Amino acid sequence: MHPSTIVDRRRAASSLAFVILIAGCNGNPTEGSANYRTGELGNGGFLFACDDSVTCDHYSNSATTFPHQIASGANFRLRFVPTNDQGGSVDLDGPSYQGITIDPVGPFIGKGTMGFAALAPGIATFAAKNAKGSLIDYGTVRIVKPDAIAVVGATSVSESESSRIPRFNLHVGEAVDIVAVAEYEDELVAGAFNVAWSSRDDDVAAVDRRSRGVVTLSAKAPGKTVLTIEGSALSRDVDVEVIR
Amino acid sequence: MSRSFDTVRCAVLGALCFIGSVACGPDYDRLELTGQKGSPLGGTVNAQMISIPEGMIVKVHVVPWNDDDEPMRGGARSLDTSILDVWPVVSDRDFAFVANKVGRTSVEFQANGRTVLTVHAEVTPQPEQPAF
Repeated sequence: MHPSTIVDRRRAASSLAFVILIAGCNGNPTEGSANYRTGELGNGGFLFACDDSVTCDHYSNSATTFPHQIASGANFRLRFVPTNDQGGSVDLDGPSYQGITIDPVGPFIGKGTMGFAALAPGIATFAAKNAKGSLIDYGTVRIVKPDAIAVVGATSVSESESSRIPRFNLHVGEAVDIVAVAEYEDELVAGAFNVAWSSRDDDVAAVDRRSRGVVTLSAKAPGKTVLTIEGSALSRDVDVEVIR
Repeated sequence: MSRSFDTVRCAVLGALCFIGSVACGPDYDRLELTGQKGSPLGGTVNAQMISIPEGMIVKVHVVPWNDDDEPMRGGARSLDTSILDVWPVVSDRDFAFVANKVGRTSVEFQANGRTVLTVHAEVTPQPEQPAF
């Protein structure tokens, strides 16, 4: 075999691997899946992502749900997937995505360098337009002002009621990774949500911040304490009991 | 003398032919607003009024017809786009009425580039706790 042919094949193989890698990372969900909000005009759909808080992990592209509602003050990102590009693995940097922009409509969401920001409670509309400024499709999402904070296991953030942690019963030496999630009318709300954590008695149980909003609650010694979470003008106390 | 008379006669004849051809051509007849795709909070776009809740989009198929029953080139534009904007949609003859902020303005509908209808438009506030 001619050396140049081998080189060409290696290049082709590496290019293919690169394409698969990129496509794998950006694999689109199929139409109708939960993390895909079909546009009102049927020309495509929208994906939700927000990556500056673990709260958003549940709504990331690899997760399962396009949120029903987003917390006011939260940042998030949206991506439009045209109808013919749904399913399988597609190259999101391909020509069909070039020039497509997503713009907010009305005062409820805004757009800046951080992506979108939920500005005020209401039903917000986001619109995908092509390079000529023509509307391709649009969707809506509810923006709400959170009315409570929930504590959720970091590895099991979901919208199910059972994932919320009402109190902690830990053994000495035990540690759990947890996150704070905004709530509205007893429903978990998407969107980055910054909070401050504190333990009333660090000698019994202490909190250590980790990345992306996760904190580790570590049981130090037998006793009782209260874990306090504060953020967005909201506060929540969670009882912690540590036993041997 | 007779030569200049012939020139005048030809000019008048030509002008009459031109006026005749224009006068006899198809003219705007009516405007059809169909295929309305409303928002989750509703909204109305018709030839009498436009009313859309703030932050919502309503899509409408806009077709002006001439008196030969042929579709004309349609268009729509808002007199205050900060309140209500009109965007073209990728599908043919569809327009999106985009309610940017609460207020009142007017929308002009066009046929072959000529305004044929002006409709009062208002963007209304969303309800306090909109159902969704």
